[in-house]
Amino acid sequence: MRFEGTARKAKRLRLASRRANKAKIRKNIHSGGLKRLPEKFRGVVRFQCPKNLSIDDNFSESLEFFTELKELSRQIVERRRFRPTTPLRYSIGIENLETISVRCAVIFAAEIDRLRRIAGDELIYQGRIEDDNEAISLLRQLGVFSLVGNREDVSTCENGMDRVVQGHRTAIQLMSGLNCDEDKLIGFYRSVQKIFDEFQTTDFVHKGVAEAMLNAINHAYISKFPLKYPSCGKRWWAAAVMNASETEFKVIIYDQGHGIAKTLPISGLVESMEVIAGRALQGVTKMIDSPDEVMVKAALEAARTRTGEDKRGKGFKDIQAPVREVRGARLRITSGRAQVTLQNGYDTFSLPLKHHIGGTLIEWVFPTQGFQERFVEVAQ
Amino acid sequence: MSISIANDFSRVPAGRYHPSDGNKSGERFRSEFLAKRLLESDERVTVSLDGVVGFPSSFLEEAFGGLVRAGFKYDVLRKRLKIVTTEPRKQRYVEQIWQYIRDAKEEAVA
Repeated sequence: MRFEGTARKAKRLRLASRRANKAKIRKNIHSGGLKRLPEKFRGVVRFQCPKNLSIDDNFSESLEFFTELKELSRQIVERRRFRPTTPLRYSIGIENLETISVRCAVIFAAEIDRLRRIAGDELIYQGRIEDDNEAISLLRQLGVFSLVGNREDVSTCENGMDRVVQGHRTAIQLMSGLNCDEDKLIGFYRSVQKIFDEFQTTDFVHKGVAEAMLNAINHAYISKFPLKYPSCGKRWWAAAVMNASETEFKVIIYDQGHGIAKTLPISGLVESMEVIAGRALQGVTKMIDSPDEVMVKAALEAARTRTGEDKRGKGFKDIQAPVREVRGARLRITSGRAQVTLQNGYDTFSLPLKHHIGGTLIEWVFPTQGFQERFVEVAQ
Repeated sequence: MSISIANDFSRVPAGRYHPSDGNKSGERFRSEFLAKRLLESDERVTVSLDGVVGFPSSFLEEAFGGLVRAGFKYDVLRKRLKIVTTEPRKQRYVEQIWQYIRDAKEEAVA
């Protein structure tokens, strides 16, 4: 019988553990659990952004790209569990990007923020920030490049507003938070004033914004359902964008939660029937709303809430308030697999989406003229 | 005894619970201002809504409806609590607050 010393035994066990870990990673790759991890577990993983990032015009490709970003955040967490010391480089190519919608820009910026929170210093932007490209200009203003530690360009990123190019959309730096603290709210309203001089925080704007943030904090990330991708707490992201002709501005609140359809309980027989019918006839006819559309519309009805308590559920009424107050304003809620728009005060129309957008995006679109008129009325 | 929400608490109150919803939530306003003043003496407490940007529903419900849940009787609140504003647009919040108090009373009875 061979004698084995303590050090030798420790080494043997260490190597065995490493072999077991490698086998587990290989098994995960074969089973499809770790799609993006290369077989050698080293090197560079590359994926490219599509030319047009838009939910309206290029939904499938855009969502595929966002899913890759989400997968990346999951892989980073997985990789750290298995091989905490070995760095792996990921490359997200945005050289191809030509156009980007405001909603996609906010989702993209929030995804990069999630990656930064997960990957930390590993996330570095390599390349030049070209302001000639309108899409890149919007992402820069939202703060995407400063989020990824683009240290060479940090001075210009900090003074983003000075680099606004004529004919381009203007945006405030993306903000995020885990609650509705006073300084966050005031900071957000002050930032909006930078892109829209006439902006005044009226009661309906404050009510809508605060309740949308609270919706993210209290409902979007309920622990009853596990999240597929790593989360950064019960976080909301907020942004505001003015269009190039300065006729319309958008205020957006986004979360990376489950979506309204999953978190709002089905209420009553009629709604149950609608959801069942939507599920059964999805893809067969467009005459019947999909389950997600039914539930987002239900959330817009007053006094409905996940908690089932009578005292709660008034938030969505506040979220709708700006549409009723400002002439020509619209509210668009993109949540899960549905998009519901409220306009002219009470008209609602919905659209099913092929894939889950990975959260809820609440967007108010204000015509600047309508907003100014309303502000004059409020002041009087 | 009077409380000005804008001067004593915040111009942008928001949220229901403290600290999870935010540092200027309804629960905090109720416990640190409303309930405290109501318990301190038998004087009438006047709450001014002037100067506040807006009141999200969750804040108002928790701050005022929460008084009933905290044990204050509706009749006592009717006598001792006065909500005032000089701004015409904020008159509707006065109505809203009393509605929340009434709803909380009915909930408590049920």
